[in-house]
Amino acid sequence: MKRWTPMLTLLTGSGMAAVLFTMSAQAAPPAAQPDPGAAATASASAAPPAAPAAPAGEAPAADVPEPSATRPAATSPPAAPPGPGDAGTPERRVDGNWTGRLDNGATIAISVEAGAAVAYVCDGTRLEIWLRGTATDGDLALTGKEGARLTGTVEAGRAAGELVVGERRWRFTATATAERAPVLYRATARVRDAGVDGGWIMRPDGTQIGVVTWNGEPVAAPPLDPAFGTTIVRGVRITAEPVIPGPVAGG
Amino acid sequence: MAEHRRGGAHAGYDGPAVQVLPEPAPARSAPAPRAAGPTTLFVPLLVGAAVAVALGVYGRTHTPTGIAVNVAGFSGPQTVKVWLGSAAALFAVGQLLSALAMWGRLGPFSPSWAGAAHRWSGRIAFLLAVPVAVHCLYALGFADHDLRTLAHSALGCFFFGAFTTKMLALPRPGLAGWTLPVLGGVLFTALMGVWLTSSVWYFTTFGVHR
Repeated sequence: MKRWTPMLTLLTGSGMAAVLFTMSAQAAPPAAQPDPGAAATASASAAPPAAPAAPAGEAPAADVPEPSATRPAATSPPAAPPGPGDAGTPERRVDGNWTGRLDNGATIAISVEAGAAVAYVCDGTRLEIWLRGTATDGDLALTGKEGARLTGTVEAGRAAGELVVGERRWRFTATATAERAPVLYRATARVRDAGVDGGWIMRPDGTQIGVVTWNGEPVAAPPLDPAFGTTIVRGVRITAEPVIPGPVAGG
Repeated sequence: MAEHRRGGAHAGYDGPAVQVLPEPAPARSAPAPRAAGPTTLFVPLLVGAAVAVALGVYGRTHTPTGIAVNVAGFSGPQTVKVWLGSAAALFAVGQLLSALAMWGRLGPFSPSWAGAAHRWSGRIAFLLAVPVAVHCLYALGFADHDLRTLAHSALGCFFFGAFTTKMLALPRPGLAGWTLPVLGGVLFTALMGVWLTSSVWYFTTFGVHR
């Protein structure tokens, strides 16, 4: 028996780890939980080349193969350029993250997953805009508060387009990040009767930029610890979470 | 052969670390101090190395979700981890003390229950560390944002590999006398490194929260 107790210890630990992994896999939100409309666009953008002609509007809501069609999209390497084999195919599925700049110097990050897109623009001091929308066949269409609109295109390597807020109009270019790690973090909380809304962009070079709006007043965001997603704003610990593209939900 | 007491190789054995003590502690498994050769450790070392590398590769290739199963009663997954890790570190200190007692290094204090205390504190420490590691690997992955996260990632993978090695080595007959102390010391050092680069860093950076 004594011989086996160390093995039992190891097996117990392994079993525990397996259970926790399973629970974690269920706890983590699925890669994308699109509403029927978004699902249709997702299935269209992720449709295999054999059926590229099906317009988004005709994709039936009960399209059973749709989840399996989008799942590989979520697990495939992000910025990998199309392999030489499918270079000629019309497939334009582009999942991933892009970071870049507006022509006014502000930083932009775009995250696309399964046809849903989220973007965040901030200058590190005052300006911050969250936008959500879709990326259908590489065409970005996102909206934000106060009529902010972002349009453009994403490809495997880069993204470019235009952001319109009221009368102002900026162009942006962004390049895909090499890693799949989240580039966008957001913290929303109520602390000490103050509303806090913070956004951060993790640049690929390891630096970050962010803005925290404290009771409607923007302040420069203190650095976010990328491992824990936490930071201290005015003495209060704030936890930010990676932003996952999802359906437009009053962002 | 099984009657040998730990450290009791009076004749002919000139192992590097084993000091003969007048009253050896009651050894729990009493492996023969005469080594059957380094091959005894080959398989445990190999498996341990494979575990460490596998964890690292998984952590590096798996897409971090940022989210994993949470434990009630804490303000967030990071505080859970910080406290679980600290508890594991506490039991690890118990490991060190009970091991010292087992090997008679605490002077006259060498109770008969030191072996049982050592085994159980080790099991508890290991089982406390497993959820932390699962969260790290699943939600965060093998990170190299800076020296701290890199050291933490590498040491964390190394720790579980070393633990596997020790567990596999324990039941083997004919281990050299220094084997278990060295493995245990490596484990303790690795866990302390992991703890310093995570929990202690967290407490000193963000304060002590629940």
